[in-house]
Amino acid sequence: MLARLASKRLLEIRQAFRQSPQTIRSLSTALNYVSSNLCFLASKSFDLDSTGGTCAFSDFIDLVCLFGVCVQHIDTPENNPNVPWEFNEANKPKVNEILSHYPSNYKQSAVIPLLDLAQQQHGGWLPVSAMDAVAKVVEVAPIRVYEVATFYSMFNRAKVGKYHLLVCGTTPCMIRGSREIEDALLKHLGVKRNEVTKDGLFSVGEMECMGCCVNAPMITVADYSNGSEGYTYNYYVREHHKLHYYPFSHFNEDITPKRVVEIVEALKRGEKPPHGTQNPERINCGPAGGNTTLLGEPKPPPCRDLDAC
Amino acid sequence: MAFAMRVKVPPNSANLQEARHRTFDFFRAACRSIPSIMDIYNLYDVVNPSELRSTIAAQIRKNAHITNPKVIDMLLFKGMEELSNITEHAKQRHHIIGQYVVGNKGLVQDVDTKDEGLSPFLKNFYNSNY
Amino acid sequence: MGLGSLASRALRSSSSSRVLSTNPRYNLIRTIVSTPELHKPEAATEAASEPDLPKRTPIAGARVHFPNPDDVIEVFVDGYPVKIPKGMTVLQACSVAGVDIPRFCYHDRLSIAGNCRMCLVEVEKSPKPVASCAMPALPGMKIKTDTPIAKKAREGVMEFLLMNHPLDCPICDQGGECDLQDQSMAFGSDRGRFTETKRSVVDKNLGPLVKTVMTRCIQCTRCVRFASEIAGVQDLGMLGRGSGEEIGTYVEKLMTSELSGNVIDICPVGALTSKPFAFKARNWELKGTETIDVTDAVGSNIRIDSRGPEVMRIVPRLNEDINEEWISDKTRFCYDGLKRQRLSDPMIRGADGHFKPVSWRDALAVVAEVLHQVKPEEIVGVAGKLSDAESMMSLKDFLNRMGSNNIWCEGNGKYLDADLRSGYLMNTSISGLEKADCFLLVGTQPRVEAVMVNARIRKTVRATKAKVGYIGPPTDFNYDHDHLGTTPETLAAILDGNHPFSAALSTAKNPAIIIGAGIFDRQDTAAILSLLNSLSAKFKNLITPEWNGLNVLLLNAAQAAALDLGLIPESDSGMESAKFVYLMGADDTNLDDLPKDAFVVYQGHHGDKGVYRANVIFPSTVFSEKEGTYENTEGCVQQTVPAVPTVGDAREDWKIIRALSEVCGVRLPYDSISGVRSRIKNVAPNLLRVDEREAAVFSGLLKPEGSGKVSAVPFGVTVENFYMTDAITRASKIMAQCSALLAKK
Repeated sequence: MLARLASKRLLEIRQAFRQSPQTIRSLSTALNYVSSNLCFLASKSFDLDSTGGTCAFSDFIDLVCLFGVCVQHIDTPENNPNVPWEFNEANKPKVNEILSHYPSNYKQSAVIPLLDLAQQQHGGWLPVSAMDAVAKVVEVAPIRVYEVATFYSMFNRAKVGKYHLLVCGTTPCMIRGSREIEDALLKHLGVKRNEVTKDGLFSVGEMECMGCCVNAPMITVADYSNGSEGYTYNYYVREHHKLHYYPFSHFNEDITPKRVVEIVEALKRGEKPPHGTQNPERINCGPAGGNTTLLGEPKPPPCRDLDAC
Repeated sequence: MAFAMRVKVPPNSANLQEARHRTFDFFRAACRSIPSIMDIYNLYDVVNPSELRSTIAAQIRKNAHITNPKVIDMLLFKGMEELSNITEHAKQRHHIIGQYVVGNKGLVQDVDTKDEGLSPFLKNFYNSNY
Repeated sequence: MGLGSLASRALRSSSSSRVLSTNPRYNLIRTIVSTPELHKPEAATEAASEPDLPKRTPIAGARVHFPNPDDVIEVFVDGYPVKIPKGMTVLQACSVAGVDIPRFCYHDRLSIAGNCRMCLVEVEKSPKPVASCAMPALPGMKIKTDTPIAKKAREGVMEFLLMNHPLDCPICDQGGECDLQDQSMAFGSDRGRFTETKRSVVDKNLGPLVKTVMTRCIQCTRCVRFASEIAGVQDLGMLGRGSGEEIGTYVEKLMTSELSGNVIDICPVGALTSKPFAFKARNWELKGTETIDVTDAVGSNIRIDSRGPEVMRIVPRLNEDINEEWISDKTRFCYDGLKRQRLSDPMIRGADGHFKPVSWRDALAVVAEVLHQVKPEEIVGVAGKLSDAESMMSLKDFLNRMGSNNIWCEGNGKYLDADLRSGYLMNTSISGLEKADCFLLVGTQPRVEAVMVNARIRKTVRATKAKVGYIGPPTDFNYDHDHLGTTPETLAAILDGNHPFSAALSTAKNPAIIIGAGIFDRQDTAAILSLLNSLSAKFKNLITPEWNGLNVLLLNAAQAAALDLGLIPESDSGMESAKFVYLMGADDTNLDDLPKDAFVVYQGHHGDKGVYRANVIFPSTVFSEKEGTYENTEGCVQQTVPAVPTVGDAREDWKIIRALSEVCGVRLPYDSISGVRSRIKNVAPNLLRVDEREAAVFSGLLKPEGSGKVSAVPFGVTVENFYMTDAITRASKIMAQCSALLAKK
């Protein structure tokens, strides 16, 4: 009875995931909650209902990997410890350069820059064999490198597209409509989160605060199209038109997602859309139409005579 | 202890003759219950009814020297209590086997003759490890 | 854990303060924090400040050792002054003062992590509660462990720890011996404020010994630190971050360490539990018997937990000089071998080649008759590797009375001279190895031969970067070492001084040479031993009045006692001319040379290798069922204590021989174990001084010079399969699983 209830509940949750992107969205910040719930149910049905359990388990692996919360490595043909991997000729001098920053008995300090280098070399993500290679370079056990790589969300442990689009999911951007942008991206590309498009060009992920909330919402494009030499990391700021110009409800839902699709199309064509704010009226973080304050030399504080100091 | 309370204490025997009669009655009652005891405790593979009968007889003969009717009555009462305990399944199989099949001599039946002249150590060694 | 006293203290003070706080408001308003005095700190301080402090004793008999009298500082724990050496942490200071601080991540033998925060205490003039495990004690520090702040901090930490910990104590194997359970009873709140769903974590497969329920993990990282620091296998790690943090191996990997079972003990919750013991028993049903282990020559101190007649599990016991608080996987998990393939009745092989159970009387009579028909010089006795001193003594006495002195113990070989105890013992002692700064391992693989010795060497190498040289076949080490060669000739080269390692040996202050007992089976044993003797003459620091660095690492529990008792064969002929062989638990003796018509008596507890050739079987007891004396490789004498009754009709070893001697007409003069021991007192009095190390009188191996030449035959591997070395471990199903996985690797 419990088994049936558990698997039924699992089914409901799975359907909720499949049917409405809305659900995914609303749950995405509570990512751990959802997946752990799933995890729990999957293991429940695993224990109690062996027939339903096996299929549920594979789904569960899919889902968990999809959301990037599964810490455990799962072998795939392109990502397993037996795939040979080493730093290429162009990067070897860089490796030595990075190592030279640290004393020879503290080689392990170089693990983060080396992982970053390996990620750039491998098209934006780190297969487990690359982590092993880094472990060999810094002379520590592989698990010590895995610990670092799983700790930092900037290391992608699953394949990403040539353009890895990261949508900010933090509160200011969320209020300013990052969810709609993500929906638009996912719908346009026809993928789920952390999934790569069939042509291998795009993948969509989430990133936490990019520190430019004044321009919220924003996305980042990690551009691996030119290999590790031409690797760029660009911020695209999606600018809403000023609220007093246009009715909030209208543009908040409509115009911004349009522009993000334009950026994607431009990238697909091989163009480099200008980064920074996408509002032509604005310069960097300034207000639309130029500065409205601080136009002249600021007045000195009236209370003190600075020249006398 | 409902079963124990059902055992009624009969009036005392007036003389030895009556006590003797009662003893035979008790022996007969015990012998009649042997088949059901065999059944209850599943004793078929360890003992047969005639052995049990002779065990009961031996238990009674053990007290053959007693002539006081009061004492006989008391022993009979204890015997009846024991019998009702057994037939009411208040005991377990190993109680029956231990008390009436193996007996006081224990499982090793053949200690007497061969162990003459052995040291206490060896006698104990043949018996158990402790 | 010893937390019971602290818990009761905590409860006592809280109840007393509850009586004091007579405010009727508390009866009406139910607060979330269960201890109402926390809302009114002044009331609680009043209650806690007792005028006279009771005298406190250090926790678990903790002793303070002052290496330098100038480094003594005084701190105050709950107002009680205590003197400690500089460098101790606040937590250690508290334990010296008799206050047990609750903790999860802190462990005496592991590095300090400071991530569970359970050990928070209040320190005067500190703005926040401090994590006592990581805070060094400073002079004059006023530590308060029982204040409302400390209590509230603990309660808060407990609430956070329980946030994601499942409430599955009834189905958890740790239940009843769980640190989290105990401490939440003592320090936790009776309700939590967390209403969301708990997280869950996928279980990891760590092999056939350790069961994981990772949802229960509280991320104390004790297991990670144990694996990398003590066991020397870098398999476990802390993966992920935040609420997704979990312990794991990242890639699918088994934990391949011979010490992996210890993570079960150090795990404060039920995340890592024993797989073979899963759902078998509760700890309060078990009877603990403090005894020792006999699967190797180290004699690890163990506790056998039994329920009725069954051994349920084996756990380590603290002994700083031998096994600290770890035991090897073989020691811990061989117990199911105690129940399988046991010999329960005396048996005689009939004419058809099959064994027939008989009574002891008949079996003894048959053997006695055969014994009287053979010539005394055709009688051979072999003691097995698990034999205790008492049984070896009586076997030797018995065969001597029958006129034979062809008696030896398995593994000691034919070429060994047992005249000097220093020639076959670990003279440095196991704990003494920590002082060594240079190791030379000759023909020994301590990782499989003596796990606890290896752990000690690893500890030393980790702490002092001691140099390790190794001569022998290529093998696994879990510390840095130099592989110098594979043959005894390398040893000769070191002696000549033209080997790079000679320099290391001569500059070391306390060098230690460890020779494996595997060389006892070589033809050139004497030559190798005389080579070592010359080494000790050349390198003067090897043997000094306060240091003896020449060690032999024995393989089996019986070896040292057998050599002490003089179980050395008289003639070299051995098995070829034997007509009567008495195997006392000897399973690894080569019987190929034995004539076809020889009569073999096997006295043992398992239907193992020795049974195949036996004509008569005498069932005997295993170490968990008897009282026996064993001497470990460093010469420390210890005794086993019976934990469970014997199986079937088995008898103790010495009793069987005593009974047989009487049937044969050469009655041995002792009837009790104390009688045997007083006989041992005449032969080797040191075997009666339990838990003492009898130092070898002469140091060094006073061997005549030039007794033969060393051969060029490489040293062999002595222990092929770590998990299966004797009759008990070969009968064990768990050990079979382990060695199957090992073979796959």
